[in-house]
Amino acid sequence: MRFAAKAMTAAVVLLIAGAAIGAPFVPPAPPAPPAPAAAVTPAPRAILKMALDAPRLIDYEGTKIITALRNGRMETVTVAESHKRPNLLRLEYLSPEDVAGRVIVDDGTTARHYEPALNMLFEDHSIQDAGAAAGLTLLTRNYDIVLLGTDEVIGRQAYVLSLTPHGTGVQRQLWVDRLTGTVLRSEDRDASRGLVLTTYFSRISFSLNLPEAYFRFRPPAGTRVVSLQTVAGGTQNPAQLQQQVGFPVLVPPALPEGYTFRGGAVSRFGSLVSAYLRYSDGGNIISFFEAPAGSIGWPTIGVPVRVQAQPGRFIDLGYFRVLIWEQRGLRITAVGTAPSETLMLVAGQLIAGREQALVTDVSRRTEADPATVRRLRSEGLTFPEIAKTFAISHALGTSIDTTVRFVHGSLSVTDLATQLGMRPDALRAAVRRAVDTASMTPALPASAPSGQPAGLSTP
Amino acid sequence: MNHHRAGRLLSAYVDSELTAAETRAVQAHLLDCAACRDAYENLRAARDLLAGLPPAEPEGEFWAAIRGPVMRRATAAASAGWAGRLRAQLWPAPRAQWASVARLPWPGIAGRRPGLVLAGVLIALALSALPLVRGTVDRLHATEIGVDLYVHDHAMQMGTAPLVDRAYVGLVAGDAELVLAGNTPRPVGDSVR
Amino acid sequence: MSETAAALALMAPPEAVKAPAYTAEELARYDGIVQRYARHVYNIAYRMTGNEADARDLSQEAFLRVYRALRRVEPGAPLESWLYRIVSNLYIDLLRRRPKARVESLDAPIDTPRGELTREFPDVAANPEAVFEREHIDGAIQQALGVLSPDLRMVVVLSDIEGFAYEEIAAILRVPLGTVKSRLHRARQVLQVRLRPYVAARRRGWQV
Repeated sequence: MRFAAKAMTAAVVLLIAGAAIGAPFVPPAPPAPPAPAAAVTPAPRAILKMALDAPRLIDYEGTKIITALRNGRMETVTVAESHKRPNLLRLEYLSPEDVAGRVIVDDGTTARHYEPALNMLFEDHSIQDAGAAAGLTLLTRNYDIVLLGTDEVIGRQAYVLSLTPHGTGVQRQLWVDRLTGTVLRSEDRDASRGLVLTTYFSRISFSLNLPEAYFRFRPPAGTRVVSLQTVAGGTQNPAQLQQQVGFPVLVPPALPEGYTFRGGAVSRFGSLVSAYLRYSDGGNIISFFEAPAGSIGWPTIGVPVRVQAQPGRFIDLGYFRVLIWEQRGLRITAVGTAPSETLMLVAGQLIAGREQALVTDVSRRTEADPATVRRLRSEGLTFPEIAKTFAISHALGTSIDTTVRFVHGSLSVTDLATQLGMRPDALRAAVRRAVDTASMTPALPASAPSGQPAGLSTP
Repeated sequence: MNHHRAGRLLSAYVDSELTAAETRAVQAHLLDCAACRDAYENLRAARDLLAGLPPAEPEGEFWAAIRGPVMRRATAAASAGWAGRLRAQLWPAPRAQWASVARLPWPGIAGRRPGLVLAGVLIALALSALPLVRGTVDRLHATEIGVDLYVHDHAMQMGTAPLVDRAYVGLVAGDAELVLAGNTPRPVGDSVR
Repeated sequence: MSETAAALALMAPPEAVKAPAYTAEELARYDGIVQRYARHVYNIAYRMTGNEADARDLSQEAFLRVYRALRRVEPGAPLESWLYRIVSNLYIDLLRRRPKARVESLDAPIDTPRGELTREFPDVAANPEAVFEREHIDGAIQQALGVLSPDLRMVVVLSDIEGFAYEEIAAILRVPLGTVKSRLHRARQVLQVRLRPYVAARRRGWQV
């Protein structure tokens, strides 16, 4: 029993270690230094903030070209995009033919998507990012934000910013307009397959006074309206979700470096009820959808795989991947930009079902009260996060709840440092020391696959 | 589409192996015909039963035999010296490595069945726009739409990460909404038929 | 070498074995082929034959063919079509060699080396938990598969157990696409009837 728990912990650490090393991504070499006429170059973080603030300050209207994996191949999609501050958005898709005529208007609360071929209007939650600031702490913590230089895009000067995750996920390059902070161009790369998404404006106009009516959409007569507000809210923890849905809601024991629980919700679609858990590292998301087995059929796309000898399904959708499996009466679907091996490893951890043993093991290692460990689990924390929380709490003397908020990214280094009366870099060093000494280095059991996750490997 | 023809196409419909036109026609028939809906559910369940079979596991000596296929016959006919050299050639590595051969995925991950589209070709019936059969539609629908619903939800959640391209989110979420509403996108390679 | 010649060479009955002097690299390539396909070959062979001994023999025979023809196999080429065709043909040979075995009608029980399969379904009405017992389901499915003729069984195994698309199955078995469709349709009709209690349980949402 103890050995098995140790083995599981080892696997958990292996997952983090492996994921932290991850697939090597080498950011491209920075281009030539900026022209001498350029003023003092702002820090990368300041440029990032500029980009995040821009929508609240700027109106624009332009034509955007997107190249993405769609329908099995890289497709080029053209869309007319308009934005009015602070949060009005209009997207009108122009090509290719199967998407031409699609209109999406978003007022920051509701998005309405009209499909002319079907004469249907879908109403859903806004696709715009409501809480930009909240995610910034995690983003800066888990990503290398590097200024690669400046570049010219459609006759405008832009800063080229690179956001590379420490763990796993899509790496992004953003061309941020120097004058307005608007993202003029972007490139998203997946570690294993390279370029998965490019977007750029082929033309853009600023400072127009776009009328608000432009962002309202009145569908023609006879349009069928469908309300698709499937995932409501998004602030509940697993324990609360479990009470609402009436079936067990499982929490992944471990996830790649940097991913933390950002909220959960109940997803309802007709009679289908699922529990939804969202994990994010500030820039990439891994979602878990859990529903009773048998309430959903198996999709026919994708490939059959084995997760710890249980049948599962893996679907590669280009930008993100989907892994589906069942365990003890539950159907679990994981969606994310993580590599397939990572998803398989996470699924394997869940299926192994060593929750109690891991609680005992982690409580012992961190000298924590098992009841507290269990409570933190029911709030969505992974075991490595719990271990980190206790290590930091012991080292700094902070309460568990404060430390959890810090680990979650709800409390930034600067804020915590202020609370503790420390300098931010001193706090960072202290945190790093605490985490390092607490990191578990158990002996690898003989059967642990060395870097090769069981169940899925590339041929 | 008449009842008889739909019945004959149900099996291929379960596998998403019909053309777009045939698929729409079968869907329309399913809305009207309880008997075919029942048959369809049976076919799906039967197929799922088979899909859920764990792989048959051969015993350990199977691997040894596979690696040395010549050995069984060779030892019978040949000299020990020759067999010994062959054995050394065939078994350069310890046997233990064979015990944990992982099950490998098939190549060509995207689209096992022809005509499948990444945005999902899960056949789904039209939504609540058909109040008369809403109850049945919901049940049938819910068991079909798993992946597209979750892809849709995930795509919507992508918007919570800062600086994700909204036009791309609109593209992915919009495509998923179409599938959820019962519109099968144009399949790739339709012309092959 | 032309595909036909290669195919003929591979289908030929095994003669007295000449051990080709393979280099370490070629042996590594063979190892790679085994690693990639052996489990699927065994799985298909097992679901076709219904017993471990025959499945093992069939798989070993198939890989013996691969081993002997190794130099004619292009490195990295996908071998499913060719390999599973071998398995299918070897199985037909096996049936022919066994005097008692015959190509059955859809509903008759099939003879296997383990004897005739006449075991009834567990009485699910009296013992509802029976549907959940893994060995029962496995056994029931294998028995149901055994009821099918080899042609129908192969299509179901390739489609529903191994997950191949219709076109791929048509390529593997070298039959028209329409034949694949109709065989699968007929096979499923039979299986549905044979597996009725499990199908019913699954439809009710139980995890079987």
